[in-house]
Amino acid sequence: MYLPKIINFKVLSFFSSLFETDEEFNLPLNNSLNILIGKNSIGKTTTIELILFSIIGNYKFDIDFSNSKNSFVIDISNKKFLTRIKKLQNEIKTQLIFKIAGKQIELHRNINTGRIIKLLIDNTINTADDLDKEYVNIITNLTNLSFENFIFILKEFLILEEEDSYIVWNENKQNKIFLTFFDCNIKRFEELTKETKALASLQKQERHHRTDLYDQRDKLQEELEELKKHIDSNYDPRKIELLNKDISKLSQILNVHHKKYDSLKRSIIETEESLNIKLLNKEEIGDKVAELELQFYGNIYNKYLHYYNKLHNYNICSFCNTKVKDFVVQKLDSFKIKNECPVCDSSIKLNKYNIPKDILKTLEEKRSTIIRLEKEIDSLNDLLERKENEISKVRKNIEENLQNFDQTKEELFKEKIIQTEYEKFANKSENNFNEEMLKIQTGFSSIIKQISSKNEKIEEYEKQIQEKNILLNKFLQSIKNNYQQELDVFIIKLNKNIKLYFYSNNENITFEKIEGEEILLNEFKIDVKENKNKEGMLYHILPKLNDNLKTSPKSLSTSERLIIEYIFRLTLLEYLEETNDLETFLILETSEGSFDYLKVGDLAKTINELSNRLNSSVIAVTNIHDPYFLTPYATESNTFSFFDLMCESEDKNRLKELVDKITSKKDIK
Amino acid sequence: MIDFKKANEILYVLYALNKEEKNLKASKIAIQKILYLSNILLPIKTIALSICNFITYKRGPYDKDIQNILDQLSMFELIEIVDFEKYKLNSKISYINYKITSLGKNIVEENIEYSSERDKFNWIEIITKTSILYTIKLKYFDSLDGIVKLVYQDPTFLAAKNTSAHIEKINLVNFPQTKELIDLCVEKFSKSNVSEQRLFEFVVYTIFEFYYLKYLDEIDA
Repeated sequence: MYLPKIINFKVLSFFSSLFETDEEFNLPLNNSLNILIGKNSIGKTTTIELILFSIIGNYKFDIDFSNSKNSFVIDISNKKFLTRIKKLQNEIKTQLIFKIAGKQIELHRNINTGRIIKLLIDNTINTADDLDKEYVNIITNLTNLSFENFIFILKEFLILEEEDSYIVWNENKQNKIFLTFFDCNIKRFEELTKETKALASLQKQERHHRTDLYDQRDKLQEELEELKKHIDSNYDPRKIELLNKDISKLSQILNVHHKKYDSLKRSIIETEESLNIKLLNKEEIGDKVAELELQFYGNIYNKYLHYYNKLHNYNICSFCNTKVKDFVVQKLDSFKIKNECPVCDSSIKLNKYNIPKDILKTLEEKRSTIIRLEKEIDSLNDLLERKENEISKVRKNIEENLQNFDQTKEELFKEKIIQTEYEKFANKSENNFNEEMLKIQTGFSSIIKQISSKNEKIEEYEKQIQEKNILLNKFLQSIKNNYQQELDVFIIKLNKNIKLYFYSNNENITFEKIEGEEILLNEFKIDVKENKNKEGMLYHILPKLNDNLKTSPKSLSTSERLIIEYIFRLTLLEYLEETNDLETFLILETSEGSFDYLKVGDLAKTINELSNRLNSSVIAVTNIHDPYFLTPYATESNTFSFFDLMCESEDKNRLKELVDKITSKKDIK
Repeated sequence: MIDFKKANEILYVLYALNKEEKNLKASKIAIQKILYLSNILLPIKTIALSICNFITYKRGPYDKDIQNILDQLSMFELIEIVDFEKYKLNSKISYINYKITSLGKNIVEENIEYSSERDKFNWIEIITKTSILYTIKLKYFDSLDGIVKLVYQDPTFLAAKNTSAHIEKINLVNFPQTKELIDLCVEKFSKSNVSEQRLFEFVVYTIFEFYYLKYLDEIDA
């Protein structure tokens, strides 16, 4: 296996739009560390994408890394980049010179169309009609890789963009990379995967059909049950008739009772009203009688008492008006003759106190009225009592009848339900009915047969899938066994390089305080544990952390995650150089901005040290950062600054001042 | 001012007594008892007597209004005190015997022109006459005091007297015993087609006979 090593990259005639300069963009690359520096939105990421696009052109495909049960798909596409390029009006052309398997290839590509314009191999122009096709053939021959795998390696391993996904945390990518590097029979693996998947989809289809059949079966069963219900139902049309008659009878009776009740209620109200009137009347007359009686008695008593009153209090006889002395009164008292005046012996005739005859007459009249009223009141009270007794009886009757009415109605409702059930099939004659029953039963049994055949098929597929899985597992196992040694070498290297970062030169920091101490104590290991859920996975190279720190990037800080990813890629490159005698390139768009401030120095140091071991060119793409973290390792030859491309002189001067300022800060910490 | 209605009732008792011309002395006790019987034996509601607040007292049913009105009537010369009788020698208790005056008679005669008063008088007359009859039966020939013995047999009075209270109000709602007896009589006599007056007389004779027999039983025991 061989991979390209970029020597020079040029962008012709596009800067007027991108960088606002007419200067040609030329990027020569050295071995080891190269540094690209520029401010935000100046085109760093675009440059990386342009390099990638120059090498491989337009691409879009999925790497399906799954069997029947798991779905792990790696999407690879440059759709985002193409959308961005489409917005540019100018035509962009790139020139890329790279070495691959000892051959130098010069590639000119029109970015807008995505086509190769010119292709030179070892400075000889290729004259093939379809240069794109020719280029693919050449690459496939030189690298010993399929073009898709070539794209995969470039996109996922050799180029790390700022917000790219990590390899170290992605088992699928790891597996794919190692399978490619170890030069295994990938085709066999892919075939097995595809076959398993096809079988699984067939099985799924069968399952789907079976579900349909289940639905049909259930439906038929329902129909059958309804038919059975019809047979079992004890429907009798006479019952409904009788019940209807009962109801009409009951409602008639109820109507009669209600009418009676209403009339009674009315008459009670009327009687109460007349009773009240009579009571009021009696009260009024009674008051009048009391008044008259007082007058009557008063007259009688006063008539007789006045005489004695006058004599005793004023010593005067009221008949003869003779005034006598006290002792005469006392004397008179002792021998009173009641019918004559004790003074003048005149007989007592008290006409002037006679009661007016009309008072007595009125009194008698009133009294007789009262007696009559009392009698009437008594009779009305009796009547009221009788009527209340009657109404309570009627009320009781109504309640009883209502209860009966409700019961009958409920029965009728039940009967009607039975009737509707029955009438569903009532139109069918018995022959038809039997035919239908037979039809349903036949349909039912045929569906049952179909289901059982589907079940058999599904089982068969399951068996085949299992066989394929066994084969796949065997295949993976063989790879594991064959390449265990190589992997061990890589793991040792990786752990060593990781220590390079975590054992910082700063002796003041004690071991316990080192960030990422967990990673240090728990070295990288190959996870060869058989996991049912991860069937078909080959390796799982992850730091084995303590149980409380789960093996996931979330348990680590951003700094740790980034540095582990960088080290992993650099180590893998180092390993490949050693084992495969390979020279290539690695682009790291460093996210030092999100790095722990105090650790930036260590990051720069680690990148520099690891890059220096390599023959390949490592391109660290970095933003302007204060402190400029790779400054100690930047030389004129290995650093490319985007500032030079600035068109505006003012901006240029300002930026130059800034860079001077940055570069003067040699001491980072 | 005198209570005319109550005064009338007392005058009716004395008038009825005078009418009989038996020269029986009517003491205040006898008047109390006759009015009590008039109240308790009333079989119908149309006659409503005014004196009706009797209580159980030392010597049978007693209404304090009766004594007050007797004094008033005597002051107005409508009745006169016939004599005083000491209950015992050196005793504070004395019997005062009353008699109606001609003035009183005039008042009664004018009153009974009014039908309501006439009904009352008729009723009281029945009671008074029966009382005279049974006093003589009990061998009291000069006074009506023998009536006390019969009143003591009245079931309502006995029931009221036998409660724990020292003084108990006698009313037919709380002690309906005599009323029940009368109702029984009315029910029985109303079947035989008689006038109201006769019905009253029947009821009164029956109840008096009942008292009398009970009294005899008591003496025998």
